[in-house]
Amino acid sequence: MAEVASRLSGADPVLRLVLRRILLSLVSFFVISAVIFAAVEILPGDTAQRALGREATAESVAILRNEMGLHDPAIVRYGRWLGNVVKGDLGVSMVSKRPVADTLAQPLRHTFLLGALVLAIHIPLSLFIGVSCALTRDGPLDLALSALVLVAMSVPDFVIGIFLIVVFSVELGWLPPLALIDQANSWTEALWMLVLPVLALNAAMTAYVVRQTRDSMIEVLNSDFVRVARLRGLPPVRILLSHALPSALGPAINAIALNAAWLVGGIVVVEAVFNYPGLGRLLVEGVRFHDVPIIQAIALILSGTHVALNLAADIATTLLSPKLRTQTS
Amino acid sequence: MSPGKRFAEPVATVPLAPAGARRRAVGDFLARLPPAARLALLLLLAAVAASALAPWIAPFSPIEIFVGSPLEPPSLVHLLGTDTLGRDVLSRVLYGGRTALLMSGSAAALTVLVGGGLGLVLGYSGGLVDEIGMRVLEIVASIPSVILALLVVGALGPSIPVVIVTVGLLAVPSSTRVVRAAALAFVAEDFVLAAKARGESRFAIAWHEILPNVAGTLLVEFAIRTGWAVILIGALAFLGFGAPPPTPDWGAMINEGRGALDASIWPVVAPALAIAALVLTVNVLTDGIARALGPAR
Amino acid sequence: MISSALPSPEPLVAVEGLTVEYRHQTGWRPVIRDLDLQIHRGEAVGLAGESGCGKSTLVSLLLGENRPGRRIAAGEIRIEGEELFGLPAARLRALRGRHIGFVPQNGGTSLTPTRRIATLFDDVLRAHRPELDAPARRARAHAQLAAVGFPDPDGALVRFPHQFSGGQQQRIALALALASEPGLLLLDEPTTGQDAQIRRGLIELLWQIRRRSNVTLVFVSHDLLTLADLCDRIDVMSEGRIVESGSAAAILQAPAHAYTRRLVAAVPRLDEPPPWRNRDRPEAGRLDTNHGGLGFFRAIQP
Repeated sequence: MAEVASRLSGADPVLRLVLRRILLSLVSFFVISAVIFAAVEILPGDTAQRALGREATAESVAILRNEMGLHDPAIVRYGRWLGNVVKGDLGVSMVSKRPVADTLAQPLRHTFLLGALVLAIHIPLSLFIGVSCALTRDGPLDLALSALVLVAMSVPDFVIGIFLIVVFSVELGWLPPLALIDQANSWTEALWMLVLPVLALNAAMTAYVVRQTRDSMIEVLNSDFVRVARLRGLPPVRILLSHALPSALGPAINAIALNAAWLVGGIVVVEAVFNYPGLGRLLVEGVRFHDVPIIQAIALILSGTHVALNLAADIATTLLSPKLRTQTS
Repeated sequence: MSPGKRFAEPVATVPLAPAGARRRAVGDFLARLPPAARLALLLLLAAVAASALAPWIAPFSPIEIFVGSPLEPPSLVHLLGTDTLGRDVLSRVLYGGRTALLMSGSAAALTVLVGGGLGLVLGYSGGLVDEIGMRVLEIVASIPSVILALLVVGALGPSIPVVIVTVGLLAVPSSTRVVRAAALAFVAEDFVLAAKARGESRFAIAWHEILPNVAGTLLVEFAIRTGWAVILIGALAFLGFGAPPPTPDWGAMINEGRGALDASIWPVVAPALAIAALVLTVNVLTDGIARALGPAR
Repeated sequence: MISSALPSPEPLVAVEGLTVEYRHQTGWRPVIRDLDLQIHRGEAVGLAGESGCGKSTLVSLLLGENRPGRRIAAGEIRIEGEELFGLPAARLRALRGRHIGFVPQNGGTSLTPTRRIATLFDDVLRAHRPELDAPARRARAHAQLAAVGFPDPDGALVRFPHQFSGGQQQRIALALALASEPGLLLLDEPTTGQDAQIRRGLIELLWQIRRRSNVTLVFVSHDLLTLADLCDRIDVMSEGRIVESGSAAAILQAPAHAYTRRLVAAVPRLDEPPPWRNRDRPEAGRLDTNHGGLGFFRAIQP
């Protein structure tokens, strides 16, 4: 695989590294698709039987089995499914009988919006707090946040969401408890509904990145090159932003990637908490009604996003580290 | 799944004292726990006792409906009020502790059993088996756990054993990685090489020589996985894929009470606090155990 | 240049009665005791002493560095008549880099790994030479790298620190310290851990720099011979004090203090071959000495 990558990219080491990572991610994605297929189809129980429920007659089950091609061996069905997915055909929902792609379009946009909002706040906020902690090391801010880390890491996301609803919707009445943004009348109303879900996911994610950023920043601030930059009389802001931060970002970005990956799962649960009309809620409904094509498609999209996020973080880390970037071998 | 799993990182390998000192290490283990962890241990024991004694200390049956009127506020009779079906919230929370502790404890035990075994085998065999095994586990681990858990539990239909086995197996890849790393530190040790020279079987070596040395890692792993399982099982129950009703389950209670939050917050807040407190306690204890077993600072 | 070659009544650096203490488990322990030191413009002063004698602490203090767990119990440091401690932060920054150039012990770890060499020069010149525009800064960086012996400064400027050898990194650190044309150059054991060839190259370079710019040098090292090659005066430090001060020749040939005698005794002698050398060919030992020695010092002195 490395050979393919190197032939594709010629001599440029960065490009080669990036291509290698992309190829590895594609392999992961391929295996993941197999696992998802297996989890839904090969497990005991019959898809057609489950889809129709216990009361279904043997005859109707048999008809459905035929329709769905369930008589073929699993490997053939997997190949057919993957081939269709690659062609962009996600199948037809067994419940609504609509094409899966149509059913998914709107929830996908919603989930993407929620995830993007969460990350847009999460990344700068947690980096800022982490750096602040490092700069005021062992001060009151640092100690308070360090103590919060353990607590925030321990409270499950859906519990955080519930607490937020209890406090801000039920007791204070400031914010809507549900985020039914498809029923919102205006953009502002929709944004207002998004406050609590975004807050819930951020509360669950921030602590970890803050801790990683703080630790790596403290290490960098104690490094020789930061000391020498100070002794060269450089302005503090420049030392912080140009000399210390780039070196401290590597571990922080890894932490953010882990978080973003976690977000893919967390969003499923938090969407359920706020009845948010996204992929997560659709997935839970799909599982409840055994809507296999829907389940497979959503699981594939979410896992693929997960892989892509990890890939992006990997590449960002590589580009931030001159040593990796200029590696000649 | 939740950020709780991140406690795996600081304790990737826990170096243990050599065999001779091990017994002593276990002896003064409690003394070496940080104060916060000792408090957590105490609280956890209290929680275990409370759920074990639930049939005797719970004021009402957890499943009997209309022991009070629906959604009563906390009173002397119903200390935490009643839920939508007039069930006593305190009793349900106490019995829910049983469900949570039993399910997550069993899931974590399964994880450590399977993951520990795999880790020992892979760490000891090395080579191609190890390489392929780790790659496969890595990829499986890269599917978000909530999603995979939903798929499997959804396909098999939610029941207590299904949830335990699914959640237990889902954590196997990361446990395997940790235990394998710990085992790798010993495969080249003299006592392992000596056992090999004596012609002992692989199984005997893994069992007698390596296992005792990774016992600390397994303990920490078990603690980590318990906290993680509480969260994942809670989330599954919240989504409607946990122990089937009317089993008292914290995640399910939170879900059931959500619709009536305007009328009473207690049926939701009580189990939510319980689940948060349990995970926090387990995580503080885990942190303490890892520190106590780790090298002295 | 801010300093002139002529000696002025106020020394460039004046340390008076300086006592510095480090925090210890039981209390404060002095590392510098009642130390007096004067450095005049144009001088090259060597600070000798074993590790732990307080010489690195002294360098750090000359740069106005404040570290947790360290305090000045008594005395003061004046640079060009200005009391160093208590200076406003902006003035202290101007002093560092602009007036005092600093070359650290480890050139490699002192260069920010994520920044190209050109950017490192840019940082220094922006901070201390605001009158220079981008092309002028570039030209200055180019000239500095050429001056420390880089045959292809343009190529070097676009590279990252890790792409250079240890000796090259040390020379880049030197060029950076000199970029803003400071009047005083502080070198904290820059040759420690380098091989003989790099050490000799660096000494030669410093000689050229002195000849060109008349910069004042403070060179810290535990190696008397390196100091003798470069410095007009050597101050020997021991246990936080300067125990002896004199010309390089005087220190090496007639050490007065017992500690200096021990230091000198540890130096490979120039007039007899080191014991591991071939006794049949004493000349080989003399000419081929690893340290350059006084011969090198005399040959290169203008």
